[in-house]
Amino acid sequence: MDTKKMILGVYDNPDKIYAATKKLINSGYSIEDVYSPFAIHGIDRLMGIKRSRLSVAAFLFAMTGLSLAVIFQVYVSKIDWPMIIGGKPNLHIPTYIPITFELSILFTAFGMVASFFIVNRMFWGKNADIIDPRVTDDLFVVAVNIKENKTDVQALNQILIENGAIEVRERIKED
Amino acid sequence: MSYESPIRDQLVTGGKTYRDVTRDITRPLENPPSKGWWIGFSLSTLVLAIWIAATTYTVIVGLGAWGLNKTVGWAFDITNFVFWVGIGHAGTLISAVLLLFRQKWRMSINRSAEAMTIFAVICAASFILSHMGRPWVAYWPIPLPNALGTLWVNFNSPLVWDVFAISTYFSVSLVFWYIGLIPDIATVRDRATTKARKFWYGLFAMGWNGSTRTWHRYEVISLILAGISTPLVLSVHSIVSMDFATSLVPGWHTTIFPPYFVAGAIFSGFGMVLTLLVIAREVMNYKDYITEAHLDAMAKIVMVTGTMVGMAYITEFFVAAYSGVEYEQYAFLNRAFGPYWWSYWTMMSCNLIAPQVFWSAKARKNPKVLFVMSIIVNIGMWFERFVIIVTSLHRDFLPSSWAMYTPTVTEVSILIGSFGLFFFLYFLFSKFLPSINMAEVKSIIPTHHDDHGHADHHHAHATAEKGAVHGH
Amino acid sequence: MENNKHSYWKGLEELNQDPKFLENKRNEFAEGIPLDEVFTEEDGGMNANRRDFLKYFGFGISAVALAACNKAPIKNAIPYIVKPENITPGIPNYYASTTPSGCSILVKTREGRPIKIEGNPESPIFKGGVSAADQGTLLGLYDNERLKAPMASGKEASWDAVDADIKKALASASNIRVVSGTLNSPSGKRALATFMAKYPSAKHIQYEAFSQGAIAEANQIAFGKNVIPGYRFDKANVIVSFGADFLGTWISPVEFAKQWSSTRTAENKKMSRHIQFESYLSVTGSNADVRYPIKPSAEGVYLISLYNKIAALAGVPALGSMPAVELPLNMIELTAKELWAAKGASLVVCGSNNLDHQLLVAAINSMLGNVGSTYDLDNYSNQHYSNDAAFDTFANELASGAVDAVIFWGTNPVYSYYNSAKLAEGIRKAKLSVSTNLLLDETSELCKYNAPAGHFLESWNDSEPKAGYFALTQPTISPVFNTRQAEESLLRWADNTSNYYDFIRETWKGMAGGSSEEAWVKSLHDGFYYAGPKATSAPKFAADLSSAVNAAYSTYTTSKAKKELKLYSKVGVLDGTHSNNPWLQELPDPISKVTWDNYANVSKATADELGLKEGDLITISSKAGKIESIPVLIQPGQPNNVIAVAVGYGRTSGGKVAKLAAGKNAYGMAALSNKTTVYGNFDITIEKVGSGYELAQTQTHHTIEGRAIIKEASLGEYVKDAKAGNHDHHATLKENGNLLTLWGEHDSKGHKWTMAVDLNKCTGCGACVVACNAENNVPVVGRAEVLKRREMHWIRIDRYYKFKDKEGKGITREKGNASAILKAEGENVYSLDSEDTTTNFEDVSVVHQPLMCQHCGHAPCETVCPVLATVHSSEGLNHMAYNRCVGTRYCANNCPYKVRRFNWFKYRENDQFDFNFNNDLGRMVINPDVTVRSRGVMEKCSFCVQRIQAGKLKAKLENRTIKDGDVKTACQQTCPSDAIIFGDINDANSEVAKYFKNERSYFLLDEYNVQPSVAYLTKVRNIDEKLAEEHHGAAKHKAEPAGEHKKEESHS
Repeated sequence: MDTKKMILGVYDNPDKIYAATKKLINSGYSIEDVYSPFAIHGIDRLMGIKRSRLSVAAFLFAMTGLSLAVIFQVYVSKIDWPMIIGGKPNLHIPTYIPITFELSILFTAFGMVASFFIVNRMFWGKNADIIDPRVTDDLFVVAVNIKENKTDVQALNQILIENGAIEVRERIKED
Repeated sequence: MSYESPIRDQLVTGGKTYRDVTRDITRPLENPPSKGWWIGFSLSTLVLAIWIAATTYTVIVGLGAWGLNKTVGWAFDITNFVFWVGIGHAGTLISAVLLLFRQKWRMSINRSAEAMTIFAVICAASFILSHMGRPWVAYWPIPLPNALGTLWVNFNSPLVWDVFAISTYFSVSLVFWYIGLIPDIATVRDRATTKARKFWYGLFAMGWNGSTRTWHRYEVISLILAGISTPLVLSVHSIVSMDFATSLVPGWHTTIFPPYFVAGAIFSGFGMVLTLLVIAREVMNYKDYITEAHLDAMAKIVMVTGTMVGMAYITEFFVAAYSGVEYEQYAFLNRAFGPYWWSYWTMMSCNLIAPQVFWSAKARKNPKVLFVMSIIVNIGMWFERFVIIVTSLHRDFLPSSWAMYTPTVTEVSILIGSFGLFFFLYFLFSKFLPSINMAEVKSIIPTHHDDHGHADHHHAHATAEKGAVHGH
Repeated sequence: MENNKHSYWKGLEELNQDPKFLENKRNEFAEGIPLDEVFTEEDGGMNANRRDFLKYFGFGISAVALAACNKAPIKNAIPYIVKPENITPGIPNYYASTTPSGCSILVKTREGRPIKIEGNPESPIFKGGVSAADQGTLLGLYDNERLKAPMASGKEASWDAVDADIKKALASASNIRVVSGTLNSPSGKRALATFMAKYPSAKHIQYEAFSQGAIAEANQIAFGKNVIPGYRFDKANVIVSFGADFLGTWISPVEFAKQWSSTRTAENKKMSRHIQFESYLSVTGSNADVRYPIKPSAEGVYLISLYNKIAALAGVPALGSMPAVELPLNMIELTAKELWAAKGASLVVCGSNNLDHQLLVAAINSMLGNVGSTYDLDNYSNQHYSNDAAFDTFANELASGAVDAVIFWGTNPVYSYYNSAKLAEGIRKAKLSVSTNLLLDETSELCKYNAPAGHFLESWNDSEPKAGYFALTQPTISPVFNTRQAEESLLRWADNTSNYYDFIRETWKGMAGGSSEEAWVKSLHDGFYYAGPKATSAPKFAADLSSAVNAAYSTYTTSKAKKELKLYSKVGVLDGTHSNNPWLQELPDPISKVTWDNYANVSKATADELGLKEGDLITISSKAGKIESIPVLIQPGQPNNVIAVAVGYGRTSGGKVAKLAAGKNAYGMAALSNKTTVYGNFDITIEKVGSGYELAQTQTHHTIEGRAIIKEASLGEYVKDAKAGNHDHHATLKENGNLLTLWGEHDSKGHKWTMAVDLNKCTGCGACVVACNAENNVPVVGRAEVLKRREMHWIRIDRYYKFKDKEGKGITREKGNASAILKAEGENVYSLDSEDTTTNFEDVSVVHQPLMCQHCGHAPCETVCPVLATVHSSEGLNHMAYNRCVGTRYCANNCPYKVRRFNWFKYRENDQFDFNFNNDLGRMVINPDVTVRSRGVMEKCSFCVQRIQAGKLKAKLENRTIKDGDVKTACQQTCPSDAIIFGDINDANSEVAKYFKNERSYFLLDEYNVQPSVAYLTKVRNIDEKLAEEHHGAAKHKAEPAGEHKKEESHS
């Protein structure tokens, strides 16, 4: 199994790590990822992460829910089980609206959450590969990939420290 | 970067650092519960026992145990149901709507509000079951393929709409809440010192690692969930209101019900949120996170929505008078001046008149006033439902069938007991889950600058002692 | 057997305690099911084992379905080893029979169980009607508290033992009395004769609890005929009744209701004029055109004045010199005029048991030339006979010990005699006391011997309720218990061993109805033999009335200022005969709507004067006796200063229901005066002893609140304009007759079942309610539940009052802020529980409106049911699938007529409801065609869908299409006044279709466009007031004169 070497810059402040990351990218380092206790707005764009397509999925899920609801209700009340109910016609569209609406929402919500977990490869009991236990508390970590005898680790450390890293360390990650 | 509106004072006070936030909010989870918690918890368990007893009794002997009769077929049961569903609305509303409007002040209250939603809906559901003549077949209103061959439900019936609305609302709120919890659960996991905690929180953290990619998707999905939850919130109480609006009972058959019920729901929901947070502030001293600014904002909403429902009450009278339908006219006059006049005027004074105190900023910022008001609001909203249901039914079309309704001990016990159920769940929640959204709160506290440098270094050492690996 | 938990025997073996049987009972298939043999034998021949198997199986089927009842005398019970050819499981058999009250009925039996009593349409007298009480008697058959075997001084004994003892005692007795109720049975009389022949010292006394003895007595004096005349209300154009409740309880209510209603058909453009003078608001009074509340003490004076006014018109001398009396005599004057105008075709009746009054009535009728036409002394009635004086003497003799042997033949005087303490004492003294009563009641528990008679549905009998009308009672089931009918007992004690069936047959040999076998079989099949009415004669009135005058006058003057008491009987429990009957106890009183109770009817003014409120408890005392702490009911129409109390309540024994029912015994207030018992007292004192008592009423709000629920017109208005009082306010909203709807209708091909109710004919008697209970297995819930407004009746009769203010303007709104705002300009409101000086509470007009499920075309209940438990059939029926119901009660909330009933509890096998559904025997009455509902489900009127299906099947079997009248709902079948019409509206010539087209027909809450299948027909009163303008409904709505049709914006 091959290993992957990374330099971690640990910060205590979103502004600092934002600056550092910016610098690193400009100086052409490849950023593995940035870890933070909360979403740092803008840094994703900085790292060139494309807007997630989850919203497209959402729309598709909604449509599925909607059409299933309509088909089911029409089938039941018109084809499979037509009853005289308060003298109303069997195909009584207005009364289908609430359920159709609810089902669309339901499908969207569950579809979304499911796909969210899938794309993040999240599942119950997954044991997390934690870059540093403190990133869920108060620290911010930028992980920079380095290639043996290619990247200038000194310069890298320099950048990290200049931008106010409170610690810099190396990490070997096995895939 | 996070922006705070300059006109509003800091949402989190006391110069908290990220670390403080984590420490403060995880304290109740990591330390043995406080005396206050124990008292509250055992109290609510006691009341829960009453609920269990009364409900069981009803199921055993039959609905005759209640005060209902041939004329008044619904009373406490559905009143309580609508009451709890209403309360269940603030949670999602706060998280979703305020998130869409980027109202950051929501961040310290939405977690408990969402929890409240879920528990309130559980209470409401319990009444759907117990009000049925044959609760053991309570699943029949769900369109399931069955052994009897073709046998479906009635899509014309608002009760079936309810089944879909309530279950959708419950499950969507649940996932929304859970998604929001994941980063915080991860925090607890990473701080965990005992094996058990590591295991359980690890299990539910789903391997959250706070990477920017995850955060990015997290933001997107929160936004979308918020987007769909908002119409959902509005739809649920609209559909509940259709239980009445689509019937022909004078006093029920009213087109203004959906908006009027939604307003009422928000009103009562915020009332309940206030009750809980004012307590939480004291018991868990979250004063720095739930600041006067929060209370003030909620008080304003209470006042506005209260006035809205008040207007609805008055509009109903106008509509009835204008309709020229004597049955309608009688129904409303009977509410205000009939045998149940006291319930009507309780409703009016609690929901329309009382909230007007919030015109005064002093009142809005005074926790005691707020607490009292929140109780008044909830009483008022309970009576609103009682008035709508009982006073409309007990005197409808044919005077020969007019009857009075008096609740039995069993019914009252079930009502009180349902609060037991609610608080029982709420206390468990506040013990085992972070009741304030840490991640979000952190994103809104001001970032430290070099003048805090020292603190940071100490900080680093502190962690070093904790055995973290040092570079250079 | 006595300490055996089974309350009845399941076969001869058990009766005889056959050890083998008891063994088998423990183990149903004693010898095992011999299937091997059944299947292995080559020859298909019967085999002993299998026969036994079949026999035990037969036992297993049903407890008392042992014997098929048929026209052969039942000697002993045989299980179905071979199925009797006249019993097909699932198919009901009907047997013509006769109730003890003499009403011709059909008994519906299923697998040998009588399950319903219906009217016999072939009877020329009763024409298919049957009263609530008579239908209720069915429950008595399945009463597990009945005496199950003869008893000697409180212990069960064998018949032989008891007979031996009694015979011995009788032989040694020197002074024997046989006390019976009205005895109009030819064979019964013969049996009695046989008995008296054997015991010459025996005297027979006929005694009725609520006696009508004075009538016969009076006719004896006046015309020399000791009979109650055959009244002919159908021939009377003017009916004047002095306190005779002839539509409810008096003499022969069903017969009279049929006659009366035939004169109330508005379509004939002429109706009988019905004037009622009475001292409490009776069913009859509530249906009268004009009603005058009077003090009982004034009745005599009124009769005399009436006599004199008519005498003046007739030009005959007035009665003596009538001293001056201040009475509103103008009303008497008017009445006299009307009567005279209709002489020969009018009728005056009087309910009082005062000899003088009955004499006066006889005199008036004869003066009006009614004798022989509407007052028929030749086709007289035998339904009631009571010799009060004779009974009084007997009571004294008994007390003095002069009588040493007494036999009570189906009567319970210890409860109903006004001096019951003395009577009870006497019975204890008597050497021999025997009772043949079915239950251990007040009398029979004092008797040394109980020789329990069977229920009439398990006995042979005959009777002659009306002259020449010979009715037969035949058993429809073999005796449930070890009982023997009273007549047979008398024969046994007279050493006559003949079986009572043979004995009757013997009697009938001498009569046209049974002379030949064919004639006998026909009579038996019809249930009666009637050669038709005899020619009538008009005997002269020959009696001296002078004494009456002074008596009446002194009574009037002495008690003018005093408070008075009036006793009356209710349609349910009547004189107390039916107090142990849960159906009848729960049947709401037609007027007060009170169940399970009696109470003191007090007028508003008197209540105010005495400072009484509804629910106060008062003690009424007089020289005669006391009624302790009886609740007050403020009763509109009740004359001031008169308190009316119903008899028949306050039982101290005679069944758990009788004891459980609330109420007080009022008989103690009666007294014998001038040879007859008078039920009331002219000088009472009232004392408030408590308050806060709640009466279990099924209706607590009494007016229509000015809503268009009831529509009425006066005959004059109706003749002018058939739509009077029934103008369509929604014409502009209609499209070919129907209100506009959002969507197209489902087509209704085939049948569409509908019902019409003629408010003009409904008397509110409640027969339909009991019929429905029996047909549809409606549970009895008891007083406590009725108080909670949870009665289960599928059909109810709403009763609305309308009052008048001083100017005679109608008042229909109850005082309250809402009505204060809603009422029209100058409209007055009434209040029963607070100060009210505008309303005249003595003058009330009443409407009875039966309400059952309206089977709406646009049923609001169907739309809201989540599980489709209630849906519409293609024949226009609103179905209810109990098994599917989850019990949300949404349908009931959304029903504008509030006709849906919810099963709050499990009403069967539940000791909380210890009525007929709580024991095996009681449940025998259940109609197998109708599901017994479980706890937690909704139920309601089904238009007797099971009867509809039966009708269709019958038509199918006879290979024809169903025709109008094939299907009759239970309520319609039984209705004594033909107020309910049911049928297929799609059949253009059906009667119901005609009713729907009638100008009088309207739909309840029409403006809501739920399209009900029940049409109501305007109430037409034979008075010349303006009625049509009243009750237009919409708030502040001004009605426009009859005839015009203008658009109304109201209730649209």
